[in-house]
Amino acid sequence: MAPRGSDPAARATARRVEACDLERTCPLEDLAFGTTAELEPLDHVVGQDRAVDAIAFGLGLAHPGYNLFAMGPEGIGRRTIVRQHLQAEAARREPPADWCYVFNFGAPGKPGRLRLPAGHALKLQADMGRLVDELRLGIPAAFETDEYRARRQELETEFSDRQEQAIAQVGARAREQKIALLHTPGGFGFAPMEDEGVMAPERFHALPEAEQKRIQEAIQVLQKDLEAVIESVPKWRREAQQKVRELDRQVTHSVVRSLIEELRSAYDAFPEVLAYLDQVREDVLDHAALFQPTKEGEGPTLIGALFTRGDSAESRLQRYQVNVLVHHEADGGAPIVYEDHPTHDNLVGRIEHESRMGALETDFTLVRAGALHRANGGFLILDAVKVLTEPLAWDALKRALRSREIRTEPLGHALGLISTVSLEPEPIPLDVKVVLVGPRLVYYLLHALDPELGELFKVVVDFEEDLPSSAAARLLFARLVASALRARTLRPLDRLAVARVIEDAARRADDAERLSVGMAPLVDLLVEADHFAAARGATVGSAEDVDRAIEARDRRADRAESRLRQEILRGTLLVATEGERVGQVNGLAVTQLGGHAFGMPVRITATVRLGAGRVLDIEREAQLGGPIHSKGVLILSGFLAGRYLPNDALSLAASLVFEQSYGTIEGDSASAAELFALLSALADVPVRQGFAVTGSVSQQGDVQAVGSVNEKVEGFFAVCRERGLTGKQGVLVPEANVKNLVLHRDVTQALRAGTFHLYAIETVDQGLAALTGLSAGERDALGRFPAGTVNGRIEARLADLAQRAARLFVAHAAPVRPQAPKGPRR
Amino acid sequence: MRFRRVVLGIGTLVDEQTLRAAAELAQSMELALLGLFVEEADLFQLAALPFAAEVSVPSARTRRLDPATMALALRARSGEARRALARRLEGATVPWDFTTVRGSALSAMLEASTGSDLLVASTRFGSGVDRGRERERVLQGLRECHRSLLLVDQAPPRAPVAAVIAPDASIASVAPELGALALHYGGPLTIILAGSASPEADRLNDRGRAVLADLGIPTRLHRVAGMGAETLQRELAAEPPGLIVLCGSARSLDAAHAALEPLAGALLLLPAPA
Repeated sequence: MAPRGSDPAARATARRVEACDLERTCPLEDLAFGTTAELEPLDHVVGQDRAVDAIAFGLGLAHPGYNLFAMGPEGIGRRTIVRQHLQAEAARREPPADWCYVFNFGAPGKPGRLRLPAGHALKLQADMGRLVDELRLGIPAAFETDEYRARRQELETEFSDRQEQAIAQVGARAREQKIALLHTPGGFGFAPMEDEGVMAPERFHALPEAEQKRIQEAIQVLQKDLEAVIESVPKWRREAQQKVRELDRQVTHSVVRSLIEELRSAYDAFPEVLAYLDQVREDVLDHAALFQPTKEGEGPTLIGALFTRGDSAESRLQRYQVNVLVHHEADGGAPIVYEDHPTHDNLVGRIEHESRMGALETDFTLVRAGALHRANGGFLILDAVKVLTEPLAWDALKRALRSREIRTEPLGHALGLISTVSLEPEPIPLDVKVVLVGPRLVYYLLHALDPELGELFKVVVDFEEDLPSSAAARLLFARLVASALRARTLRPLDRLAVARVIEDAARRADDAERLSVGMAPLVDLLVEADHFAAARGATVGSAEDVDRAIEARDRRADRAESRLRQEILRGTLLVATEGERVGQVNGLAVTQLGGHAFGMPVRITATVRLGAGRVLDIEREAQLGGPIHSKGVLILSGFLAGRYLPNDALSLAASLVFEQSYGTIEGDSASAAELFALLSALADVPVRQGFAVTGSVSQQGDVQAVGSVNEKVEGFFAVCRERGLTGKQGVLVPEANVKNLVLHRDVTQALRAGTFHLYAIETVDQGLAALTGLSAGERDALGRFPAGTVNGRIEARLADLAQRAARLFVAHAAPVRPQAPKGPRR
Repeated sequence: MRFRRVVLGIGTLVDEQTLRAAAELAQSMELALLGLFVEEADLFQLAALPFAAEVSVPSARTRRLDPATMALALRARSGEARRALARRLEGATVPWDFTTVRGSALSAMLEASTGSDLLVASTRFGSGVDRGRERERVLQGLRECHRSLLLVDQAPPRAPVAAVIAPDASIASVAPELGALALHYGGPLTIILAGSASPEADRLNDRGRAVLADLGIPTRLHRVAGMGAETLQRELAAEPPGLIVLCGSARSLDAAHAALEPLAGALLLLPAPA
């Protein structure tokens, strides 16, 4: 074994990361202002050039299908940025048309649409209401005149007399033949008369046969005559009703003409309205009775009812109402609608019902607008996930965009579940620009699964999460902060405070060279810092206010982290931070709970023995390991075989486990730690427990970058600090992750003081050396690792295992020898 | 004269207007009501004939009749009339009864009533189709039997009420009944007086008008020179149609009959005072 020194850093080929390398403080010279109050507000979006260009392109193209899909992570400001651009565009556009539904006099089940210039729908609605009010006064007055009553009475009497006289004539002819015409319960009957009464049957039988026959024949003729009369009654009734209708039309026309003409002159520029008013006029003329006050039903005439008047006139007058579906201000721009609850009905509108006498009824006044109606002629913003999770909403949206019209139908009909008669409102022509906002994954999945997405949403607006950090970018970011403060009337921040905010943005970007442009967390931080500034009565926010806001934010969310750390410190969760041990390495795991991510050390152990060349991943066997984690472990086998026994079979069995881990483990960021545990066990070389490791490894032994490196380093540091920093503790991170390090100040202070260390490694050998304090060893001219080095020990152990395996194989494969005579059993 | 009961005659045609008038009058005058459904004997005679048939309304087809079918149909009508009357009198405080008799329409009513009953019937009461002959038979019957009869037309009641009273003395004697009827038909009451005026007639008229005024019914009186058919017709034509009350001698009734023939409306026939 090679000699071991006291300072691992001095012998390690791993690069020691100095505190000065991690100086991430935003240089104050980049921020040439006193407070944000001095900064010009930002009139453009920071770091989203690609997205902004795409929005401008999409809004500029008026062709169908050029709708927008704004994708990116939540909180990046997608809706705000989109809305800002839409507002600018909408203000330049003319307001779209108002839309109404009116009664379809030709097909009542299919309400008709009416298009009016912006600002005219409500006026027409009011005008029609006034028209009905005036007709309700004028028409009954016209029908109350003595002339009308007399004329109507004449017509009614004419009809009544006509049928009574016709029957009476038959009766008179019967009487001439001494035959009576009688009312029977079901109609009329004829009978021979005797002494002003009906002849008794016995008297009839006593008559000569010829007389009986004559009477019967006469009655048969009379019955035929009466049948003819009764058959004529419905025709006479129709004629009489027609005459009454004509009379009603004449009387009504005198009232309606002037009122309708007045309206026509007010709307003479709108042909659709004029056509509608003509239909109204004709309908009023035909239905003047609707305007009459309800009266009790008139009594029946000799044969059935005469002229019944509708008793639901009050409710039926609503056929002249105008249902304003959507209206706009005449001096407003194009509408921008954000539908927060994009159900099928909320998108394409719905047909409501009213309970009348226990039955559900509907009519054109109960057709309600959806978001597409409201946004028609303008812009509609929708959350993609919400649209996709509401039943049939996505289909309805696509159908509307494809057909370029809005067809309102009940959801039950769309599903084909309900076949009851309902309304079929005339479709409304659609001209809208839809902006779907959603995560990238949703867009990619949808694009792969739904070919129509590409046809209907041709413009992809891809938002960046961050932007490169530079002096100019930081100043720009400062102006973004100033704009956000001003928009929310928050106190200005001094430049040190802005520097803290920028550092926090870099931390959120998880990259020292980039700044997160997520607006939601930025605004939250500004609002919370303002709260602390207000609490101390300051007019300008300071760096302390920002720090307190960040600490408070972390503090609010770190309950689980704190409890876990306490369990490590109490010894419940076994994590060693000093001493040495064979086959045991501190890995680093990251847990995401809600919006808070934190790192925590976890003990990884490995055991080796003779076997068939398989590295057993206990997490995987227990179905607690995810596929990426399993892949990382499988790579270890490849590394072992490739590096140490390229020409022979691996003859070991190894087990790897995350000790005291009871949840699912995913990701390959612990594969380096697992490999070090395995190599330590193979080499029988102890590992320094004051170190923790993160990083993934390749089959070639390269250590590769992983995510959340800041949380991992800080998680191990926190445990070490609680136990007391010894100066022999630290974390090994992939060299590629150094640029991602934006660590808390207390960590960088410890690095600076030399009480905690950080090593950047590029290869497994660098890590082995740092963890064991031994040289990893390189192959010599003969291609063998030097004895005593870690690699040499590993190679020797593997060769030994291979030889043992070969001997075992030979023993098992040897031919059967004749057996000796059996002796007594022992 | 004071009525003690309302007797409602119901025939083959069940007329809602007549039911309503009888029910409202019984309640407003607080009189008991008897519903009398008459199964006309003539209809059974017809049904018993070997060739008996009925021209159906509204199918206009002739179908065979027999006594059993006729009895069944009339029983159904009787039940229908009873239910309709019960609906009309639902919640009423006056006692009422319903019965079915067989006979001729008018004679059945006369037999079931006394001189103190107010008879109420439809103008289409009875199975005969000839209305003129029916009315003539009714008037003849009333002359002989001294009954008061309200004949109700199927047309809905219309105000104001026109009344003809002769001789003058009757106003005072029938004022309460007139008041009840006027309330039913929705007054005011117009009274046309026949014959020449006299101090005694004026005194009686004033007394009758005072009774009506106490009932809250405004009354208008005007006098015509004679009771001739032409005069009456002219006077009545000037009034809107409504209730017409006739009270007087056989001569005046005959004249009224001629005058009323072309007019629609309800007709109250009162017997001449003794």
